[in-house]
Amino acid sequence: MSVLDYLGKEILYFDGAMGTRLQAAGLKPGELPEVWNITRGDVVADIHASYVRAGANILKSNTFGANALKMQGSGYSVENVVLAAFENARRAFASVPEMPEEKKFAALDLGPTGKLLAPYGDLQFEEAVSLYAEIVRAGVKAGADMVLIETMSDTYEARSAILAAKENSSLPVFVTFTFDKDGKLLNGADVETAVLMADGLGVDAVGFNCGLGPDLVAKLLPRARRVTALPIIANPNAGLPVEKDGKTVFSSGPEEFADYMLDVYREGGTVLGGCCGTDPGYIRLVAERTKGMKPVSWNETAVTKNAEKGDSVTAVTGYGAPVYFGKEPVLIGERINPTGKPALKEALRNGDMDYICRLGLEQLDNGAHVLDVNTGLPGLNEAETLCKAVTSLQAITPAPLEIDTSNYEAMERALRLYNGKPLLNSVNGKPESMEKVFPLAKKYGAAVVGLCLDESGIPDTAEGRLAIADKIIQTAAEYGIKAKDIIIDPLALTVSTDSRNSAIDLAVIKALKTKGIHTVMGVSNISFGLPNRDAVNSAFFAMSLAAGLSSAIMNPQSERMMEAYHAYCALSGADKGCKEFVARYADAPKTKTAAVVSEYSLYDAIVKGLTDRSGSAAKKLLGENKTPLEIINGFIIPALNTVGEGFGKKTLFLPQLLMAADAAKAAFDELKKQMQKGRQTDEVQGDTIVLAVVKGDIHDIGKNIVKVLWENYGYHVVDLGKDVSPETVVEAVEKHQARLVGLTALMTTTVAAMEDTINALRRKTDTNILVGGAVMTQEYAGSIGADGYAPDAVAAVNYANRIFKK
Amino acid sequence: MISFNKKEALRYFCAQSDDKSADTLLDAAYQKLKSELQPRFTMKRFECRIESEEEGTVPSLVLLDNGTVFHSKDLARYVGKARELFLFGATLGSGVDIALRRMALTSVAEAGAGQAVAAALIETYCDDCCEELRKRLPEGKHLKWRFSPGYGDWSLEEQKILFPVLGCAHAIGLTLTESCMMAPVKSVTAVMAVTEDPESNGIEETLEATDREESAWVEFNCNQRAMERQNLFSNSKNKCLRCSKTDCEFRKK
Repeated sequence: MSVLDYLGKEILYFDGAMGTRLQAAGLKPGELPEVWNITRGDVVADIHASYVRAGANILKSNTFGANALKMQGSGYSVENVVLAAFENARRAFASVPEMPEEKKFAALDLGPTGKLLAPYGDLQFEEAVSLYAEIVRAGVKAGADMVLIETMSDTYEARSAILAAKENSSLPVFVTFTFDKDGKLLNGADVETAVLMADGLGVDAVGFNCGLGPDLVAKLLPRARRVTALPIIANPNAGLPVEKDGKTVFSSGPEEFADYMLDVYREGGTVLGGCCGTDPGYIRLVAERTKGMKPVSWNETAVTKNAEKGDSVTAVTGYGAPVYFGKEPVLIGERINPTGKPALKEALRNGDMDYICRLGLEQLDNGAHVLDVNTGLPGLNEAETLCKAVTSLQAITPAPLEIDTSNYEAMERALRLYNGKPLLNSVNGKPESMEKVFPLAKKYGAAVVGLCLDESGIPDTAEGRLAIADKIIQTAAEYGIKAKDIIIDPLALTVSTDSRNSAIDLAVIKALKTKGIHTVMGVSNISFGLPNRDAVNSAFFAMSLAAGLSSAIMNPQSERMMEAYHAYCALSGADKGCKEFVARYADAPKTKTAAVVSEYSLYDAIVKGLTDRSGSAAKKLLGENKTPLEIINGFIIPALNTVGEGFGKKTLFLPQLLMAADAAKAAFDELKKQMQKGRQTDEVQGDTIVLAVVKGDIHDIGKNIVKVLWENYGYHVVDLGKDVSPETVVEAVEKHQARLVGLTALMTTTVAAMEDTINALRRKTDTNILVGGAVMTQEYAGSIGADGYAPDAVAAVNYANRIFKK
Repeated sequence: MISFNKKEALRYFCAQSDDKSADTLLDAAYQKLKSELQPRFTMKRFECRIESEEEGTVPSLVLLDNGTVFHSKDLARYVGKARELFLFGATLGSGVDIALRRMALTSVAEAGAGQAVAAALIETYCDDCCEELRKRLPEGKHLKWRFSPGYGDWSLEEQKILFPVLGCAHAIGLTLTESCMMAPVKSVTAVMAVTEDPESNGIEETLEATDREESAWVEFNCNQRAMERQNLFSNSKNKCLRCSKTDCEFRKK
């Protein structure tokens, strides 16, 4: 019998704490509990057996931290520890014959790696998958009945563990997360986000463990049930952990715990057990009080009685709050798409992910809920670029992304490393498209945009497009993808060539709305070939929303479109009490302040650190037919020199230096726009400098300041970012033939990496090497072979000016 | 909610106390960061003693009752006669790191201000946690200021010993990178000795532990920008007293 034969049909019982019991038996802080599987197997088996006698029929193997990182140096391999763990569990089961054999299940327990995954920490996603995969393979060999991924406080790590479990076994997979009392994980994800992601990845049960007591789990549990129909697990602590004299104790005794577990059961918990602080006394009481009870069905709980059923909710997530379809219309920012955008094309070719991140932030700041990410550009490796863009964006925002590509390799790689439940753009009605896209969407838990076109093209009737939508939804079902995860795009075609096009889209939207199918549309396509496109787009957008359009791929920087959106939300009641409308329009400044910029020259604006004014002053100078080069040499650099000198003499301080840098950058950005228009970029393309924070170091504020200042002086800075390997630095210097490299390190532990990088550069290049950072001194810089040392950003500018003889 | 010590943030930002534009930048940065705060701390108590590695030499080992050994003359001198200590870890959470990255994308001034605000916030949070612990200590026991890996001759590498003992990852989501950086970045780990003497604070005696030329601590505080040293400050009313760079323009009186 499999645990799945019982799951959801009757209450199953997990055991309680292992770690706190081992500590009571003599395990010391910092000692690896998993080693006790081998060295103190009897103790582990006795603890397991005590839980089975109390009524637990699922034992968590003592393998919580049995990953290769933690086992390193222990003298034991992952496999040895896992095999021993299951021997102990089996011995424990065998010692309790009164428990029916067919209801004894040993779960392979996978806890967190203890590392934060990149880009938030330094463990690469695929390394995490490999760590978990090794344990899963050992668990399969040991005869595990199921996998329990537990105590997950980071959706990204949970994702890596789930993929490892599913790719290396056919065992049932359960996952439980550790939330705080507000229902948030340590990485900021909500209950709904974590559950939606796990559900999408195809786990068999999902739930809660550790962190909270059963009272708080009972309060959070309905939030999980609102977004999933999966069986819910609850393994809470024995109340909240409390620090007492430096020791952790728990606030609830067995009686109180069992009382609250009844609340958990009533809210829909179907797999019950305990975590830290619980012992067999707790589990026994829970088992006794719920004996013979059947799991509470969906419509029996108070919260879900009148709610939409959990498995029909359409939502996508990053690692913050989910974005739901079918409530207020969802805005998908369209601007990260190189079509017709020369600056973005240039950024993609240069690998300038900061530019892409800024495009993303601008759209989010202006009201986008989801960001479309398309990096398809001839001559570029799309898979690599798309992955970089997704990772870079997810490093700075928890908002959901729409992965937009027709390149299947890029699609799979980006879906795999995505943190959350992504939106995938797109599949269409062609058999080849569905055969390629649906397995990926299923495996990685994506919601998919379905385009109403097939091998015959785009039908010119609403009926034709609806037929394709039906075909897509039915085929998706064959792959196990629910209709709620298909969002149909009726495809807007321009009304300039056929005036029926608008009506066809509206008819498709209306028909799908009545079937409960959500829709998305690239609204602005409707106006191709027409003048005053914003007027047509915004009117069509409002019409589509009124017809029931769930989401639009649009430009949130278009004020007309945003006005249409906010007006619609106010009129439709989605914006209750017109609060957002009023906040956006009544409370906003009524006049812009652009008229007063002429008060400041560009020089003054930079010296005073006035970013808005310097941008406008630069524009004004361009309007007076000054060339970008004249403006840089005549205004920007003299102003920065003044600030730099003041900084050196301590008449100006760091804040003024930084504000002046920002102001100069704003002016430079105006010049760049002009240069891109006139294709004059070569005119001021300065000497190239490569800049990096060395391997192992993740502190980059100093590097960022130096970068901005160098750029303001007209240098072309190749910013390699932080934690950069010596090989990457050498490669960049060779590729760009850079005569100067800037390296920074903050901590003593990374100074060795600085020296390694210098040695690697010396072997292959004759570039100048400038070093800086907190731990560096002139003497130290000399001792590791650097050419120069910059104690601050101004010194870095002066050094570069000397090298390039400015 | 952690109170925002703007005066301290201005100091980390290397700003003059009457700098209105810096003040405005710090306020704006605080507004952006405060909704991202997920502060957490953990601490564990141990009995401890110090030992010399070789007979006749200065004590350089700190031994905890669970078998853990730290290696540092300065730490041993800091612990001194104390027979118990707390290991302490605190973090503002990864949301702050992510918000700081966002700030860095658009403005170095805002990013600098954000770093200073976050440094002030983690410092205040640590102070608050320690104050709570101090209140709970039995009468006659005193908590010394925080002594962190990286201070004096206590190598950052010893974070690799401290982290598993304190269980930072599991307890508060604080992890260590291969090169001993903390992630999330805005975090602190420390030892806090418990003494039976009224707080002598031990500043002077600890400072004398290592020759000035050998002290990494001295180098750290001489050379780094104030905004970057949030992990290196320790706790007392005036932390500058523990820095030997007496001509620092931002030194507190």
